[in-house]
Amino acid sequence: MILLDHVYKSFGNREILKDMCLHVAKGECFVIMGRSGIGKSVTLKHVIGVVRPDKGRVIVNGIDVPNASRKELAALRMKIGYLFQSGALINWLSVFDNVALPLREHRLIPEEEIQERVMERLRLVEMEHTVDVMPENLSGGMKKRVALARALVMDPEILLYDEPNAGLDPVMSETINNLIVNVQQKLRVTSIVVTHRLGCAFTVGDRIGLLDSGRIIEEGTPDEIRNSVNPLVRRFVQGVID
Amino acid sequence: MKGVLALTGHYLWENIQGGGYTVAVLLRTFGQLLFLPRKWRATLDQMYVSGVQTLPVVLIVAIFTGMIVALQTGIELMRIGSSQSIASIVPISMCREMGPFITAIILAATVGSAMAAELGTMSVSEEILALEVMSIDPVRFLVLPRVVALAIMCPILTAFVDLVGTLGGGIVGQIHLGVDFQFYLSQAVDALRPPGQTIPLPKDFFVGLFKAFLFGVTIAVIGCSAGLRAKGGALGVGQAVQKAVKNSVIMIIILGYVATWFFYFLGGS
Repeated sequence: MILLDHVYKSFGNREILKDMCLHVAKGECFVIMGRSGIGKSVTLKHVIGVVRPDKGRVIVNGIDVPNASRKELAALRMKIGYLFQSGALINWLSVFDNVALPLREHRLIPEEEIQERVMERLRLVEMEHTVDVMPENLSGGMKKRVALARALVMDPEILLYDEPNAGLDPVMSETINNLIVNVQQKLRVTSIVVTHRLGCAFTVGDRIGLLDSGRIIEEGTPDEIRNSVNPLVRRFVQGVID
Repeated sequence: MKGVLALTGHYLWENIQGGGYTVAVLLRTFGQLLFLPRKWRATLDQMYVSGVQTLPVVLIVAIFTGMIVALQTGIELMRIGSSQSIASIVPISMCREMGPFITAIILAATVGSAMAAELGTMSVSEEILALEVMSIDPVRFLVLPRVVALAIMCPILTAFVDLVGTLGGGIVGQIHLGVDFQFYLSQAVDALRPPGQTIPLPKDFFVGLFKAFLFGVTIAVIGCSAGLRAKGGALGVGQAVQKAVKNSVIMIIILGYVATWFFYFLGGS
């Protein structure tokens, strides 16, 4: 479903990804864990095709993303939902209009169906009471939930979460984690979650990979990662310095 | 020495890149014109922001500009006893140059800078990226309504500026230069009417409106492209606004000269 094959990416002299390999199967929730600034978000941006690799292949749904035509890329992006770290809601549109935006712009369904679909997605993230609220009047956690509703409104096959818990208090963090699990169970989408929060990684991930030095240095189930003997993993997961 | 050369080279390269990007945005906007009927609501909103909300400041500047032109030229003309000539000078200078130029400078400072700030903030907060990820073309969604709105509103505001500026000149003529207001108005209409024609279809007025149309498109495209290229938080947004205003003013002056040369020198006066 999603394949990054020996991907290299540098910005100026700074090497971000170095021989990065990643495979995410259909319906799986894969968590990329790692320190801040290590290249987790850059990895997600390769999947969506807004960043091109210097070397290596990125295959999503059978499409060679870096070499895809504009049309192919546009069609692929319609099948991908992306939850931005900041939410990235359009600040002059209400909650309802933000969630309805991709449906209205692409004119795939009539307005009555748009109303139904938007309300359904807002109910899924428990934000149906905020339809007329503007983004500036929402808290950080509420923005993320609305942004998740927007990411889900096109019925995506793939969901990409960029630091879904960043800047949230522990209670809201837990709410978002549960929401991700809920969405995963109900919609059976393929997901990549990028986070540095252990709680999030162990709650939502079917498999977890630790990104360090530009590549996944270890991957496995949450239990395998928890019990890893790799010193880098132990240091990140348990805070143990050998 | 090496450092100065490197800095100059960097500056030039940045500007070439910026210019190329702006031209690309302009061409892509033309390419999206077919989708304009789907963007009529957003275009009307932008017309309100760029036209109706700017009208009061434009009119204040216009009346005083007409008064200044009348006063400055009138003082000199009084010495040779032909102060009534302001009735020709003021409307022609307002319609040919001052009207479109003043309107464009005001719009560049207010609307163009606001466009750069708005789109710049959207860029640095990943909203533009979010649109791209949703397969929504930012040029169609954001740039097209703004460019069309300013292309329509800049000539309309210019027509108001021409009229109000001319009236301002008449007021100064009546109060300070002893030129009767009725006489001033009839002379102004005659001055703008092409020779030998009874119906006034003043070339100066329409050339001015055409210039205003060019200025409107230029200001919106430069403002939007500066915003779309903004990077690096508040500092980046500030720099985008600065670039938008600076480049718009430069392009207004250059385009103003080229249009005047084309219509009055190449095409004959």
